[in-house]
Amino acid sequence: MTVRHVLWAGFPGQSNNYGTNPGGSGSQTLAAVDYYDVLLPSTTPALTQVLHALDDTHGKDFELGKALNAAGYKTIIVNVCKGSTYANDWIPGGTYYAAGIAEMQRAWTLIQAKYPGDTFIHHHIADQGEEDARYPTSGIPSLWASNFAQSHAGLASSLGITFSKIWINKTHSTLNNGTPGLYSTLVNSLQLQAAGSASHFLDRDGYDWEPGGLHLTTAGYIQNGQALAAMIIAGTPMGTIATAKKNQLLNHQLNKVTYTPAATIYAHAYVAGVRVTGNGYAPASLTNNTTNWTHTTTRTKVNANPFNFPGASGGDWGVVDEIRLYEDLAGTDEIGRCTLASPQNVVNGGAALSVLAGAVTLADSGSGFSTAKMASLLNLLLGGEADAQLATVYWQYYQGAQSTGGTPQGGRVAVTQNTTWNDASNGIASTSADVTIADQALATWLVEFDAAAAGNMLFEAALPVAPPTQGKVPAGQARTLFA
Amino acid sequence: MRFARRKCLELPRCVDLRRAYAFNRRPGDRNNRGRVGSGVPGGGAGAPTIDFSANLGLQTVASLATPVSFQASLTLDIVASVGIPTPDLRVQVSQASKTLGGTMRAAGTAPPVVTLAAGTGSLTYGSNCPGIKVRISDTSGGTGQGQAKFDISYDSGNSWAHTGVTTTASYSIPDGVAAGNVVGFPAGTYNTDQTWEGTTATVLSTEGHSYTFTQATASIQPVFRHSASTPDGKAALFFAGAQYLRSTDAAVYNIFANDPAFTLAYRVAYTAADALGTVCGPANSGSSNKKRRFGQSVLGNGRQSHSWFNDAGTNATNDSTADNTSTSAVNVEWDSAGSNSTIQVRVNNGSNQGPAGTQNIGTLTTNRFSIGAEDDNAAGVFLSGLVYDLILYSSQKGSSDLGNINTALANGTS
Repeated sequence: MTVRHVLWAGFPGQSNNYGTNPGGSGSQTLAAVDYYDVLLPSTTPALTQVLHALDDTHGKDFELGKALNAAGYKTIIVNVCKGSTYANDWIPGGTYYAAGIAEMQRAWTLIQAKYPGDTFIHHHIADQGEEDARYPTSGIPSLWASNFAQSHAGLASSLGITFSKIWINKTHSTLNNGTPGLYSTLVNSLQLQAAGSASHFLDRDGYDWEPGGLHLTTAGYIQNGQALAAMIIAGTPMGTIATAKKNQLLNHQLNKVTYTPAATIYAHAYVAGVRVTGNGYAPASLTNNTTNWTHTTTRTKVNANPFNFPGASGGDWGVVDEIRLYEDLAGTDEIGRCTLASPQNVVNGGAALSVLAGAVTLADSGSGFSTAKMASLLNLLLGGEADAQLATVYWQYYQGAQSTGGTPQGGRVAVTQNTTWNDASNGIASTSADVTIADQALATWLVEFDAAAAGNMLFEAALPVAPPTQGKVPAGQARTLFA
Repeated sequence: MRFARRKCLELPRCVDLRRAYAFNRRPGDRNNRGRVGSGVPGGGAGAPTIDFSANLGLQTVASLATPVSFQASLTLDIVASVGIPTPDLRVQVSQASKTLGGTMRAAGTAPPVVTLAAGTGSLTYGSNCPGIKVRISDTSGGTGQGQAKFDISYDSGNSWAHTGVTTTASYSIPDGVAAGNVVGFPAGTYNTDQTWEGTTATVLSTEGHSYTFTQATASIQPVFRHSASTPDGKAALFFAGAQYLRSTDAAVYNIFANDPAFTLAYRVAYTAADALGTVCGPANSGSSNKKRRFGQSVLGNGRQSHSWFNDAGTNATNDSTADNTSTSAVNVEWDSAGSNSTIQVRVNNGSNQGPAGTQNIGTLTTNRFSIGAEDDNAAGVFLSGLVYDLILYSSQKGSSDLGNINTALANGTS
């Protein structure tokens, strides 16, 4: 099993990922990166899988894939292209949404068939925005962020995946033949909002643009791809948490099944997907306590002491390129795994392999979970600290996120967790019963608390459609998930 | 159609309507031509608007394909590393146990002999070793003891913990890791160009055996420099020529017996362009003919060229073209398979340079190993510079290990 990063350039792929062929279907080649592309609407052949070889027709995706490959990321890029489009063409019911979804689904089916059993980290890359900034009479600049959120959610739902990352290419501030785009500033600010942080938002204004500022030149696309790759690499650890472990944590949080942390955490070394055996090999271990795992109050958990493997004896181990953490010595109950950015050659009689203090980082990259709640779950998994399960939690509508000073709308509604939630599957738990909650015309967020009044926020989530209209959140229409 | 677009723009209520239901058909799209009316639902009569609801229907939470999602995004990052093979000798100054000397190293015009004593504390420190430095800062009240005032630093002069303190025969350091140690200012004449630094009388090796490197003569002890006051940001021993620490542990000096295989690596910074400067080497107390040495050479190639001498006086120098002024820290790695094989040197993990052909490191008996100068019965060749770390193996290491050793030296890691 291998960790692969799937970069979904949807929606939309915008017109200009190739530099020399804006708006065209893929005809180039990209070495060693699985590259799926299709031009919409269906005037071109349906999904094609093109293995690209680098040549002189560099584009953004070429450079992106090449740079990620060089950094050791096993990458798949899916790009559904349509030139000159508006963000609102790609939301459910939009002009290109259905066709785009169909192609994305086909790509996802092919990917899963090609790599059965592998673990996938999903990224959403957005290139859209130029048209909204230029021609607001057809696009809707002010709704860029909400339109993106809808297309993002629709894509995730249609594919049955959860995105771990969002990366947004900033729309060029200068459009319309060198003059600032009418709505560039607005769209840019909404793009930053959708990206969530500046570290996920690539400012391309300084790149090499064609006259008029709509498309990058080939050199500009090379800059774009390399910078995008650097941004992704900087913000993307190469490891994942096992789905079964996500389910266990979710079931614990939702008061379905109590999770009992392991007494000892074991680290196993792998070479090309195969666990090292013989030649003195044994897993390294750390007692799962607060001495070995630094208590956290943030969204990041690290080890306080090293995992020290024994030295190789009687023969080499080979180039260790992956470390997996388990809750048992035999290595069957996996916590997670990480491909090593710098594989380590362990030779007979040479230095021993170590994972030094601070070299294991388990992190939540920002989410609907409160920081305190996430810190508690991280302390439970690694460190073995207690995390209180709640029989009842309380839901309330908010205008704006509670965490950023939103205002409550209506009262709180008690929710009995173990009768409201299904058991988690595939890292997702969905509600099994309706939750009746009064309509609130201004509600844009749903927030969960640990008390009927005051207390602590546990989760919050933006409503996919505002305002809600039926006086309840029907069964299956709320979910808690670990991406 | 164009009229419809203009109207939509002119009427924010139209946008409000679309936002309220989060629908996506823009005016003029296929299947959504819209219709012109007046007012909006619930908005009362007024300016003309466009009502799209006729062909949209109402979407609700219940009918959405996308649920409300409480989401976390968990990622796991692991960095593994291969350390260096356990050395036969390592003197990592920052981590070593160090015992400070009783007489501080003086500089300036005719400085009195200032002493350092354990007092109520201890002069033996580990990684927290203070860089004790004092300077005369004020003689306006007189130059004698009890008149002149001094400043004291715990980080070798990077910062000053106390200033304007009156000199006294017994100044007990009031705070910091050296609290309780006593600085003694004897009667004498004090001037503002005078400084004193703590020296290192004994260092224990850090590979696990705690081999003792020591020097009883105060004037030959190197100064201990705190990490805040070295160019490399790591604690170091500062040798100012004619200074060294000696080990008489046989396990150390015998590594060089009988033309052996070995690997020697060190991180140093040369602070002066000495013609020759010994970083380390084995020797015999009874004969200058039995010494070997590894160190600095500026025989035409600059301060950071490096040389090796065997016990017959045969030497070789690598061909570094480094300039003659740099005081930057540098990693130097020597290795040999022994038995008249090639002795190689490489700098900062670069390519092998220097001596070609076969060389014999020497077979004559030694009985000591020193750091900082030759240590035999004749005038030595001395180092002027900083020694941060020294690693020695009784075997020749391959390029992978050498790379890791270079990294460990550069980063101060194991």
